[in-house]
Amino acid sequence: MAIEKMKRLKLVAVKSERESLLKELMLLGCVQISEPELHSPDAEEAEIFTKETAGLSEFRADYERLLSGIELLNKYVPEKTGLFSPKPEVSRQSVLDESSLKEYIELAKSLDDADDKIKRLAVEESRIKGLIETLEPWVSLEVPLELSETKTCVLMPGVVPSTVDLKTLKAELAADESESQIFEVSSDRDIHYLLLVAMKENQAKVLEIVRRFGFAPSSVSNMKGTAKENISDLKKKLSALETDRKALTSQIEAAASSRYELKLSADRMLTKAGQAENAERLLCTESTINFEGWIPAREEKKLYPVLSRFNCAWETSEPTEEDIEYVPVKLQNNAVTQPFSILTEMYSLPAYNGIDPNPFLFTFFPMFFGIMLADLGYGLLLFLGGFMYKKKAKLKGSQANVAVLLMICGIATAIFGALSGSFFGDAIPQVAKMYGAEIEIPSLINPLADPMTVLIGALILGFIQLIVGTALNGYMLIRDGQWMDAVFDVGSLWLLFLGLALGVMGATWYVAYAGVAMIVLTQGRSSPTIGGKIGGGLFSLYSIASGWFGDVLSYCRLMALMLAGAVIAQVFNTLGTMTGNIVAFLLLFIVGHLLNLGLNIIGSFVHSLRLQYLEFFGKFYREGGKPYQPLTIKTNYVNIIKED
Amino acid sequence: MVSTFISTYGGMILGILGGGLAAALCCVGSAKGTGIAGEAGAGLLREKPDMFSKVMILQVIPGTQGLYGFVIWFISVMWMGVLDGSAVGMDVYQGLLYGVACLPIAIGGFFSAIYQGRVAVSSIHLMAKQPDAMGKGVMLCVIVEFYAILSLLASFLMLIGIHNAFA
Repeated sequence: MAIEKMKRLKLVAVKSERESLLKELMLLGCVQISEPELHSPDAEEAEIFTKETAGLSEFRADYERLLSGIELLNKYVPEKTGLFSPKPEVSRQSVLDESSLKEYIELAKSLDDADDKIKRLAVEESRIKGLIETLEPWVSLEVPLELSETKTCVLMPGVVPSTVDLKTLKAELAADESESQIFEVSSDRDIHYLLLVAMKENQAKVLEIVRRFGFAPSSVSNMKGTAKENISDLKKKLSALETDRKALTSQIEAAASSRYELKLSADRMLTKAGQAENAERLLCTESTINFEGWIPAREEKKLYPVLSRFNCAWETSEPTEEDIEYVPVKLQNNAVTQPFSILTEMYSLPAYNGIDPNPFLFTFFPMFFGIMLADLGYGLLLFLGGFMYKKKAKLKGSQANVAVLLMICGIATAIFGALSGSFFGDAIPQVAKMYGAEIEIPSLINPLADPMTVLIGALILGFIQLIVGTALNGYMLIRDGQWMDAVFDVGSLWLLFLGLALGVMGATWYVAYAGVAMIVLTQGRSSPTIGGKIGGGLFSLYSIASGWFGDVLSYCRLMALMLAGAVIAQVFNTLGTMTGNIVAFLLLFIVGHLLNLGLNIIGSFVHSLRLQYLEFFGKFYREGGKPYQPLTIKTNYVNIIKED
Repeated sequence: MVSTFISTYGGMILGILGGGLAAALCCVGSAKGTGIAGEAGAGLLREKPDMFSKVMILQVIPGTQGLYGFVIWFISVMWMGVLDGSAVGMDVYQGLLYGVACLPIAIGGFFSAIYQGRVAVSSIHLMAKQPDAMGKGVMLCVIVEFYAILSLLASFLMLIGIHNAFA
């Protein structure tokens, strides 16, 4: 429940052992190797040290190839998975096994090639289908399409829009004495397909007439043979292409049996790339490798037996004042506070000299969430949902954290639901009323009947959270030896609040005056001039007053969302009982409450989160820690079995 | 004739007019807010279909104002006695009080839903560039939401006062 203490690790080892050393460190999974730029060696060292490649870019390319192979499999042969299907489990040694990697990279490549070919075939197929479509209207024309002239005549296939009246066209042609003839080949909704035959010497004149009707020569004249022959040829081609495509598709489908191996290979490749990434951070001389890194102080002992097997020299040391910025941050939590890391990380990790907020989030986040959702039924549903999700899917890592978070919030919701006498809104009394019975559920807090109490309660809870925030700030200042700052910044504030409380109770206002004076006199202390000191003090008195007023009022959302959720639930229950029919009631009940639950979960979650991030964290949080990313085995598709 | 009509139904009409405005304006605002967010979301989903759940959460955030308006409508008609018929014959000034008390959420909800929808649109665009930025986008939306909540509380606390005065 704190920020893990880190130690700086410096290591020099023999170059020939690079791969095996990194592999061992990876199995150990607790050493983070820093980017050497951060601690740039001096000019003399810079000449000796070089960075060497370890094949990272090739590994990454291979990884992408495997991923696209898996994606193709999913596209052609969608995987049937249940909602809660767990990931397969493998041992760490198996993830490091590289023996079959090549084979599956080849497989992924061949899948990619097959997919490429399929795409090209599909393009060709659609081209041929288009051709067939343009030829179809000409089927009844038994003249070869390439025949464009005889000794005396020209033949011209062409089209006119279907709006043209063919009789008028024919009549016009007949009226002109140029001895031409129009044959109707076929017509569809938009177009008449025609064959125009004209004497060679009259060609220009005839064309002029037909152009007035929108006659346009057709492109089919570039083909050889009759339309019918062309179509049957094309259809043969098409079916050949289709067989090719089916063969390729079934080739991909056949690979579906190695889907799991592909996924495992992808994870193996990812691990390999991770190792190479770290290997490329090492500074090398001709015969040695050197690196600096970080290791959690608790894990230091594990390092001895591993490193003693290698030819290497190493030392660990406490981080110095200047290092603080670079020390990676790992939050050390127990099973219950761990899930709240998701919320902390979503904001920003605390700085190494900050404080781990998870235990406090564990107190306040579910409480506020529970107050806003406040329903026994909803709470139980959330708890069960989280429980099932975790159990059935055997979750690890952040997803498991989400499930536990859901369970904790569910419990809080159920508690506040019980306090407010709410079980799916007022479902119990409403149903009882349907059958003529009167049931009164006792409640401690009721936003509809006694809103002022709930509102004031919400503001008081908010005030308590803010005071805890200032206490944490004071704790950090004292821990870092800044006694004066703690007294001036936190002490003066507390004095003011204590004074206000005493004054309101009628005892004395002098303590409050002292608090105000202390704030005005101390808050401008960083300013160099007397005027600046007083001005700064007055300004901070104003910002403290307005800031705290706004911050505390912000907690009124607790009551407002509690009210909104309860009223919507009540509306659906009322609608349901109005039907007077238990089946219709159940139907409305299920649909309505699912809707209300869904919307309110989102609302309660984000509003509770906002209160943590803006109001609570604003009072003490030092952010900006860099995440601890040790050299370790990372997997996406499989879970690693814990073995020790 | 007219005066009996006014004395019988006038108060109730003014009251349900205010309550109705609260529900209707807030719902229109929410429809507009979720609408523009949905359009932007559909554009993003064309490129990245796997972001559906994230896009949907951002889309429904401007939908809460509709709920708030509906809550105030329900509370006002319940306390006026519209649901059980006792609102008939309510004094005109009493109905006017109920009606006017509903206005804060009607106006605040309507506009805040639209403005929040615009933030949701920008957040969806932000997510198109940075898929991990959803938390930030949601936070930006929630800042706007607070003012709808204040409007809801303003209407609700006034309704409480009026209800207690006549109870």
